[in-house]
Amino acid sequence: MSRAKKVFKLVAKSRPGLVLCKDVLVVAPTDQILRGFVLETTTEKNMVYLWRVVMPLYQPRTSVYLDYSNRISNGDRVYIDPKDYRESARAVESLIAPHVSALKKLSDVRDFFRHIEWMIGNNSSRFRFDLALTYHRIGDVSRAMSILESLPHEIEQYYAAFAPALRKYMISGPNPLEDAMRQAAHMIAADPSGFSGLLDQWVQQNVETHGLQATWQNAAA
Amino acid sequence: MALSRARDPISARLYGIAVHKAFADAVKAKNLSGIGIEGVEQSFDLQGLARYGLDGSIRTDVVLRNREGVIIAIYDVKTGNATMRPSREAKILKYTKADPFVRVIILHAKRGGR
Repeated sequence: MSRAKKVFKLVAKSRPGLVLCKDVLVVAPTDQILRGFVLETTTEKNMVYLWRVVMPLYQPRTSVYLDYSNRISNGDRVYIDPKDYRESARAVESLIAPHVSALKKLSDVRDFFRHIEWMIGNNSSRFRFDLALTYHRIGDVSRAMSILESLPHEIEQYYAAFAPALRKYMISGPNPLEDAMRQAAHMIAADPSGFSGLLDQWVQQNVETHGLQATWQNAAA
Repeated sequence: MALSRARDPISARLYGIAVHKAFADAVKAKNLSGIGIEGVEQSFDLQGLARYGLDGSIRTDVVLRNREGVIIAIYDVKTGNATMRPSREAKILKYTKADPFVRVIILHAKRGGR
């Protein structure tokens, strides 16, 4: 069992509402937004960064990404004692405690939109993709369509702007996320009414990938 | 940036780790606008900001962002005579989704320098 699992398992035992899903300590219940905590290894032995995680599930990532998450404990490294996981768990619990209620308040897509609203104007295709899908989920279909339809062209323009010596490396190899952007652009144009189904499918994939079934809000449905 | 040469020499690898840690701590302590505590020692992969050590991810030393979170500069600390190959620079730019005008700025730490 990994260090994160050992520590978070102990924290989850003493904190109802927190559930260990793979190596993420999840604030239950989960619906469209994953909320929780992860440990990040550092180059220093037994020292980790502790993250407060906020991640939309209606997008096709295969691992936890931290674009909308924050390091807690003032960004300092946190010591995990490999000989005393109980004490480490107590320390971690005290660090995450003030953040649990804030994460509980971030419960739906509108809350997530408010969480990322300050980034509007960020022209990265990754952010614009997430923003478009968020617009769609909150019912602003025209804004979602406008962004998604322009993404394939933006991706091409992005790479074309680099010097050939760099570009040849940048465009080599598969890029599943950009493929998904093109898929979404195609689908929203071809079948706008069916687009929600694609997002629902991505949510379900994420629930399975991240082992969130135990916290899934609609588990009983 | 400098780290005093130890009386007992340490390996290049350990020296590199020590320099990177000292640099990260110093930058975080300053809590600089556009970097803060978040923009230090961040890892990226094709999907976005990632955890350190994730398969295929790259680690940046410092990332400077504007107020919308757009990356405007990336700093990479090198010890010894290390340089950066174009393939590495391309990977950093691709994974961070940095704009074409963004430069990866290399900071050389001279051993024993002041």
